[in-house]
Amino acid sequence: MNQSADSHIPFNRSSLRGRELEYISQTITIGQIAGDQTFSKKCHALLEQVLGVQRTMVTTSCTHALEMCALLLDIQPGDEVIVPSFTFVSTANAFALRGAKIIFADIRPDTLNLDEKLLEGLISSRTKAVVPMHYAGVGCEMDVIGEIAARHGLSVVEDNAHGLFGKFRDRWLGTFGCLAAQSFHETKNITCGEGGALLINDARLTERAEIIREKGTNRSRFFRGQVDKYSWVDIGSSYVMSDVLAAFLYAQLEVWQTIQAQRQRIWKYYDQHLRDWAQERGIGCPVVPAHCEQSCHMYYLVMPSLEKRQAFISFLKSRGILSVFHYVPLHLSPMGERMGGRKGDCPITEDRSDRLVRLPFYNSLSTDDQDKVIRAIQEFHV
Amino acid sequence: MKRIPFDFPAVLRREAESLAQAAQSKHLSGDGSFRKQSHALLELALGICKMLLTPSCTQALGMPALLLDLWPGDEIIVPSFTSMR
Repeated sequence: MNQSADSHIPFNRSSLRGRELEYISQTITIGQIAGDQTFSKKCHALLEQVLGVQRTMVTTSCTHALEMCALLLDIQPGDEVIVPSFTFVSTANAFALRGAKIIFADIRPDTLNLDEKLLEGLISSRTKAVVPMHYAGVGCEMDVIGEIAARHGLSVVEDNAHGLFGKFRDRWLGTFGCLAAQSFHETKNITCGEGGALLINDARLTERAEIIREKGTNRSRFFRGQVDKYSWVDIGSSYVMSDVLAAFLYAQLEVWQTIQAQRQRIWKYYDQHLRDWAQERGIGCPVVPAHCEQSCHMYYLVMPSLEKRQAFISFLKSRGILSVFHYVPLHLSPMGERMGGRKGDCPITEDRSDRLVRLPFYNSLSTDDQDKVIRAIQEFHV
Repeated sequence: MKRIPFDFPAVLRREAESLAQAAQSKHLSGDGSFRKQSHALLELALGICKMLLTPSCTQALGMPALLLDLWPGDEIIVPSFTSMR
């Protein structure tokens, strides 16, 4: 997934979208370069207001936001957590770090999201949580997942790394689970290089989240004048984002509608020019159900076979275009196998992982460059 | 009366310049060129074999706990007079 420097059209490229540099220099001038200061607070307020979540906390990464979820849910060794096999390692690792056994769910053949029809069959008396990941920013079937989880007393944590500003049945992704994790890594629609956020929808978790994020101390209560000195009260770590990064992030967040409109334009352009071509050749395109308003995080194709996929990536590379595959099935990774994962456990994951290819997609991708990508693709002999 | 804060981050000359350079690069995630330069400088100055920057000291302290494979029941000795990390 590395990007070669000589690529004409890279897979991803960061770009400044507004007042990033101005805000960063402000943090230096006012001496606020540690966390939870002016710009972090602006990010919190904006996300809380737009999404209507109880509480948001920017973190050092989405991985760290997920680690906070595992701590907040008090995951203990031997507890089971259900995650899709087709996801990033952090979805599983955050819980494995607490000693949880990871149970891998296969994905739906259309949206590539955790298959809610398989969920109930994976639940045992030790299951504590389920972590749906909204692949490509298309919502998982949250009503069914929520209903099953409620019936079995499981917590739902949304891995919303791809899905900020996407919706499921007119409700923002990230507002369904008791907790949700966001990513602001450089490949995301809205970024600060390395960063994330925890969204808290269950107000009962807020106070402990503040403590866990501040090294297991009641520092937040101290600053609010609620206690006269702060002390070590729980386990925790440092998940606080520097305000230098929060300044960068806020400059992007405040123009989120412009960024989302650009992403939508790019996604639609690919779709208009590739869907018929792909369908005539037995190549799959993203499926976005009518009740999902996607975040336009990526555009991918599902080639007829692994060999064709590899040939396709090489062909585009020879034209100076970088396309990349995506997740390798987690249940077949060395860690996944140690947790009992075996070939054949998640057939759709295994199949799509071999065949899926992601096209260049970044905020500053021009229509001219997209035309080059589309022309090159149409010259590929399937 | 001029207020004297307990702490104020001292900024030398090139921080803003480096930040602007990093911000305008095509890749913003970690392990880019500034990170590599910091690693190289610290490894050379301190004469250590490998140096990895982390988001915080707390996170760096969390890594030894993983590297030493500490598990429930293991004992660790720390001074009482220290940060809570």
